[in-house]
Amino acid sequence: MHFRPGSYASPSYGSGSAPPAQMRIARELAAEHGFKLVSDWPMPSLGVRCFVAEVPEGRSPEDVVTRLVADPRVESAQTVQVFRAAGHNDPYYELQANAKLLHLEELHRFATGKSVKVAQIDTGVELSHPDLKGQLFDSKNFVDGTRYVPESHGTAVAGLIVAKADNGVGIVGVAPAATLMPLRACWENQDEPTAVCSSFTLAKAMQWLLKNPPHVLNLSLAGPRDRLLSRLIEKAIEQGITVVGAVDPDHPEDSFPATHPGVIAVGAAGTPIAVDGEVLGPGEHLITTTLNGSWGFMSGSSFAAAQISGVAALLYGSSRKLGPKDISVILREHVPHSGEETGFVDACGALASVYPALDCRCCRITQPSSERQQARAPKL
Amino acid sequence: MRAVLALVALLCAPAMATAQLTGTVSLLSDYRFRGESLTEVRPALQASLTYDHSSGLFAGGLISNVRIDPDVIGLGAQVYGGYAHHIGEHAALDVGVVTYVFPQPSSGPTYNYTEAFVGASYDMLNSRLYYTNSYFGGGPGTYFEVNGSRALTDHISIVGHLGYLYLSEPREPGTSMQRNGTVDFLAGVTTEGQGFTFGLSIVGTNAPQDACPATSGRCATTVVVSVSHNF
Repeated sequence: MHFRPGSYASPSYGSGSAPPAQMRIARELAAEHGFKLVSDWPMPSLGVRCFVAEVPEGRSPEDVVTRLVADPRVESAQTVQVFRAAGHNDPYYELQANAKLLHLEELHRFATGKSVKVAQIDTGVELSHPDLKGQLFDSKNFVDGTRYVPESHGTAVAGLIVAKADNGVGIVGVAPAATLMPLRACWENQDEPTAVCSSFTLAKAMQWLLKNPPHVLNLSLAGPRDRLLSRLIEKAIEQGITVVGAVDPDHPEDSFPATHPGVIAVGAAGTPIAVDGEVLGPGEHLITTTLNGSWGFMSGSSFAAAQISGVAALLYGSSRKLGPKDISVILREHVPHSGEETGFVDACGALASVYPALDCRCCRITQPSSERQQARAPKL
Repeated sequence: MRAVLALVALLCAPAMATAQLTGTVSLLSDYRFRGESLTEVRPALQASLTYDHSSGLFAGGLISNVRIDPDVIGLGAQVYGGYAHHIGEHAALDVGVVTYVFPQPSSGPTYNYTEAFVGASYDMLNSRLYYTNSYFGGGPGTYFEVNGSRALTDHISIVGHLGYLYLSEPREPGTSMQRNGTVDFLAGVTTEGQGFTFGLSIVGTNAPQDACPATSGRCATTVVVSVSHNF
């Protein structure tokens, strides 16, 4: 970032590749430690440039990482972790509107998330979906070797957060006047019903997002604790971004980033609390946007998290003074308990705490268990 | 998918090593400097070295073949030094001095000169103001430039440059001044592969006849093709 000599016609104006010295260091390391450089990406928010190294078969990536960590030329090194997009993706027949459970109709008289920017890092979203048209901006792909493609998980998460209201089709998102930045850092496999992401694709998306910060970030994915992502998430929270993460009920110990301090951990109502400070959202039989311009039912903590991100957008839209910590505290203060059981977030009560005019008598959540009974529907 | 990913590691290197020496070798179809050809519209081979210290001090040089006129043919150099102050992660200010050295003409004054500069940059956008009391050996010259680039994909970027040169006196003593201020521009695209950077740009200037005789083509708008390798 200083004067460089020469003809300005030479292509030296900060192109996308690694600055020579870093690239040279990476090449030296690759030669010394016997790995192949696959890709690189600047992370200016952390003041580093990261490289993906392919370790040849027969050698353990952990051994390579141990040696790299000890090398003074390396700022940090880790194995690339795999993250799963949380949720079951199970379709359901019977329609049970989460709108009713969260009392969206009443809430939307007061707050719709207008001018609030929400980002999701997920699989691809069907950008042309009739219920998402006009709701999305800045769709970006961070999965190497692929194009931005519409996928099931991302499309379902997007619909729950921002599906357009009063457009005569489909459903209403929790924050229908918010706009959503759908970042694709996870991908769905044809032969498996799950979606996966890696430390690297997620870190690239986080880096981009820190330069184009939203107000709320939804991370409906879970995996092992990851050092690089932890640092990027901390940066995001420092920047005032409210980060919502999904808890994987089957692997609560591997529910990073939901387990990261400052991230709002969300589980699906009906599942036991598995992570400190976890809040629950409606998590079963949620009708939302699906591929090919249609709608279907989804269950799981991914979709519970999407709705809590929507509630966070409503809260932020109601009071721009609220920081990530305030929103987290408000949500946790509005979790109804019934004996041993914990209900999902009382969205009306949460919003009333910043909107004194909002009368929640209409929509007070009585018992968590009765609401869930209502929501139960047969699996396909 | 897990099996593939399990063989992958991620390492991060500091954006600014404690001190670093970097170099570039470039081959260009024309050596354009502020819109004007310094090789009389011939190809140029250039090599540069830059040393960056963690304190912000930097120094370096560039050598290139030059052909300013039939009497000034040979190797030219730029030697520079300065200090860059980083503000946060995206912005920086820099200040420094650069000396331009050209082959000695068989008669008449040398084209050598020294100028001082101050600059500011933010991400891929930078601007810089230069001043010399003897532009190419003539009178005082002030030059202001804005440069920008934007990555379109991981490997393709577009680059742009706009410059304004103000000279208070004619370049050749005794001649009349056609215009004090001239504008030059560059618009191009760069792409990377196999360790090389390829560039294609359009360069032009509205420099007047006294600086650029029409027959020389040295100020004509042209396409510059380049390839460079960083090490």
